[in-house]
Amino acid sequence: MSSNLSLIPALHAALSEVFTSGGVSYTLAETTSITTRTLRLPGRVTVIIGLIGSLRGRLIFSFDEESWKALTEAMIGDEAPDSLRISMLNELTNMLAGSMIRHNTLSDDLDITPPTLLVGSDMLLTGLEPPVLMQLVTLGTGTMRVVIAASA
Amino acid sequence: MSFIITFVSSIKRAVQNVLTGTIPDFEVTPKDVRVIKDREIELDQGLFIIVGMTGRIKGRMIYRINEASGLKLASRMMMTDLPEMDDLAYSALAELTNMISGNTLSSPDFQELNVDISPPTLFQGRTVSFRSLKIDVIQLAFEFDGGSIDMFIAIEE
Repeated sequence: MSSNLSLIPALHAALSEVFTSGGVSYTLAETTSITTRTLRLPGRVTVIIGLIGSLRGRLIFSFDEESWKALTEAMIGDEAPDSLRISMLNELTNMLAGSMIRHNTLSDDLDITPPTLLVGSDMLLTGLEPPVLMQLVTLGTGTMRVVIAASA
Repeated sequence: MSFIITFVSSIKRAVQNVLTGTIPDFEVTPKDVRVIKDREIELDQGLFIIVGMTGRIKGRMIYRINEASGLKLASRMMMTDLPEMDDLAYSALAELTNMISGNTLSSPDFQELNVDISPPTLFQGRTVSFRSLKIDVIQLAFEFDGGSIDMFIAIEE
């Protein structure tokens, strides 16, 4: 089993743990294998978390306009300013990645870097080394994309 | 604050060592160092390369390279005139930034901090901005014949 594939069950466990305790309803959509070196991510917020240890790479959490709205409104209501929503997303993705590390069964020496947050309308991730996996998660009427790009 | 000064001088040394050590007859000049007060960095055209850090210090180093500079740098590194930014050019730049980041943190000043870095993640030429939530961002700039590189460091408390 590829190292990226082995992180998928850990992601599912993390989503269940973090989203369920936060009162966020979500639906797992498909998992796709990315075979190109470039991947277009629709805006609006993308968070990159580095993965260190016997698996090295990164986890990328990308939110389109609708999923970012659905998620932040579920957690802090619809009147919160953008700065607070962004701060919450930073914390939430950090919790998801931390939970993934705890749930993974492949390695017990994994560590994560703090989240780095990019804001934009259309983002092109490049220099990927396929195969890379992407899990789609439905949040409200939008889609959150989780890209897992690591190797042993 | 003295830590930031050490970090900045270590980066300058690493950029110098890696670029002149990897690329024949290469000259690079450090320019101004400044603090980005609004904690936001814009990318219009070019590349953002993000390297995460964790250990006794945590944060990220971000490289910003415009397309012409990226092409020039990758061409010099590959010792061939690359016509456009392609996979080879991206790999060359990822490797350079990985080396610069690693070299910065392997200096004696940092050894006991036990910092590890994640592999570089590349974002390409759209209107994208980086937002730092709580901490100031330090910007370093470097010039070489035919281009420039900006580097940003944001280290958490």
